[in-house]
Amino acid sequence: MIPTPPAGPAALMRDAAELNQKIASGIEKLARIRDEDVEIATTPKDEVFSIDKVTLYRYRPLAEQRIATPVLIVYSLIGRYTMTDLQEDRSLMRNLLSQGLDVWVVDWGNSSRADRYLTFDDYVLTYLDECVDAMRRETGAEKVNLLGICEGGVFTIAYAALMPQKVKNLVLTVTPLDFHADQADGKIEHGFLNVWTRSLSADDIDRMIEVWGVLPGEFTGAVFNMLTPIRSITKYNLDLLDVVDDEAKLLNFLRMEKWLADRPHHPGEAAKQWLKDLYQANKLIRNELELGGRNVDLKQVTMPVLNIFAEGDHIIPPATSCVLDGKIGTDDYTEMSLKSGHIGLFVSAKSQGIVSKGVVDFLAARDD
Amino acid sequence: MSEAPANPWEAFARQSRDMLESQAALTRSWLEGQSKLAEAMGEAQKQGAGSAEAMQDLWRSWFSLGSAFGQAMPGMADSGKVAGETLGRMMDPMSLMLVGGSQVGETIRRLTEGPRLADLGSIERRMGRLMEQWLAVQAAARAYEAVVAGAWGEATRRYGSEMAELQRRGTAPADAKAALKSWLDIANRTLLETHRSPKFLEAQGELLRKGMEFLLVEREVVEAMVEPAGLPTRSEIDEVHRSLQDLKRRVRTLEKSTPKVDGKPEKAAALAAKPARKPAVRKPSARKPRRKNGEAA
Repeated sequence: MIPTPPAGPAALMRDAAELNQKIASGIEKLARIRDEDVEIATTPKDEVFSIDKVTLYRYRPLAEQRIATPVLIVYSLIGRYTMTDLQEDRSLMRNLLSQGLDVWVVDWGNSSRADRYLTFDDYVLTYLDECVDAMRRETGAEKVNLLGICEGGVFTIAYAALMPQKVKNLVLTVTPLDFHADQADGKIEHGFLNVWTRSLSADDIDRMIEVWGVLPGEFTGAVFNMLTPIRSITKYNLDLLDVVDDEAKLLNFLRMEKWLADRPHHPGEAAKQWLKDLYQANKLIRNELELGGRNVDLKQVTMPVLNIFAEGDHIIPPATSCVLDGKIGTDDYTEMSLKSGHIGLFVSAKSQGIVSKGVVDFLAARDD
Repeated sequence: MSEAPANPWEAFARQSRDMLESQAALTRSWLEGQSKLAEAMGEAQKQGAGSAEAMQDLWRSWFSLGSAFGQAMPGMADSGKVAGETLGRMMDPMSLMLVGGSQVGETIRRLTEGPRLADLGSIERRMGRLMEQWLAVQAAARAYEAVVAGAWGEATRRYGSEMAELQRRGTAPADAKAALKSWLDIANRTLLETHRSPKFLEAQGELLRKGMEFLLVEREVVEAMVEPAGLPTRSEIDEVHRSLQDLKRRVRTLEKSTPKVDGKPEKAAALAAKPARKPAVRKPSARKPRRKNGEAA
């Protein structure tokens, strides 16, 4: 029998009454919240260019422009960029804009089975390249700054290696680069994605894409839930109860839920490259990745690079990110680490302003 | 086109009569044949052990043949495989008739009539395979659940030991909240360890594998059913998407390399017309938005 802590009847009744009150208060609050109260990605922006399902937006300035070179935020295909603009007081976009950056973002859109045959080659050499060219046309800049997030970081570093003449500075955030370095820090909660993907055979991955045509958003969501098994179970009871009587925290919780629920499908052929070429074969750091018939040679990344990673990142372990020193073609390489998680780096109260300040300082010093 | 009969009802009644008579004749003939076969078998039994053994051998040979065909059947479903198709033709009774008949006529008949009775076996075989795959998914699911249940069992065991040890030392959690936190921490660690274990990864991988195999066989069954009705199949739509994607890539490559009137490629010309490399500095609300996006993503 499992021993339980001693508690008198009175203490138990008090606890139960308190719990009941919290639940009642939570139900009442949730009933009053409308959809528009949990809007995300509300910072004003304008559509500048689109191609297929991909849209390029330019944010309206919130302060006088301090850095002349525009910056393009490139998110991954696994989640949506809206996480970088979750709410007014937790927004990378707003923080960058308020420090005088000309901020652009590429929205990859919602892929469907019809997009099965899109590859990394298409995303990097067509879509990203077209967006960069559109920015150059609009602003007159010869080069742009790129800020890649997670898989978007892989897109930007590959682009920077293949098109260095168009990239002024490269900023990587929570980006996996050495996909086999996941065991380096020995933390059991880090790197399960790497272990899980390596446990599959190449045939397993091919068969998934043959059946689904995409890597379904629900499927990647379920795999992510395995990274934090108990948190996934307690989220809607214990965790929700913790914040339910604080309106600001509750709205923040719901906005995160909204972002999580909006998990797009990953195009099938690109997913094969992501899982087989990168997670399994680790081709990027070995300079073996090929896009558009060209080798992605990291030594061709000759512009200044800022690499930001999160020490508590259970999705992309820091050891898989901070591996570029000596691997790229520039000495102007800076690493910046934050005590946060993969998503917390962008949305936690603690990291607000730290990431954007690091980015702005780095770019401002290299904007001549 | 043939001429319409003067009295359609009388013509229909006559045709029905003829059909019934011919069916009756066929039935009579089949019954006579069965009766003679039974007599012959009875005679063979009477003639002693040698004949009985021969009869057994004959039956065995039929079973062996049936079994060989049965094993070959799944291969027949694989289109494009010469051996399978050849075996299919070998077993198709219509192919014997085509030797002396009109192949064009048969093809037209097949295309206009849709599935034939001869196809029914094929569908049954596919359904059988589908059921087999479904059972494999269920077996894999049970094996996977057993591993997960084992992890929860282990977490409970660890929690029990931990609490007993803390109580022995007099440092047991003071309240329910602390006890719950301890349980969640232990459960989390146990589940994380399980997720990384080879037996979990193997069981989950097998479930995924069997699930995918089931869905592929299911697609095969559905496609076999909808194709004769002229409905598009998943495989055909995938093929269209692939062609479309290839076409888009080719168009973009052509667009990039197409010379403009001044002889320069379009993209190169657009970039050549760029202003100075230092971009214009923006101020808040200095730029008129070209198009609003409703302020939301």
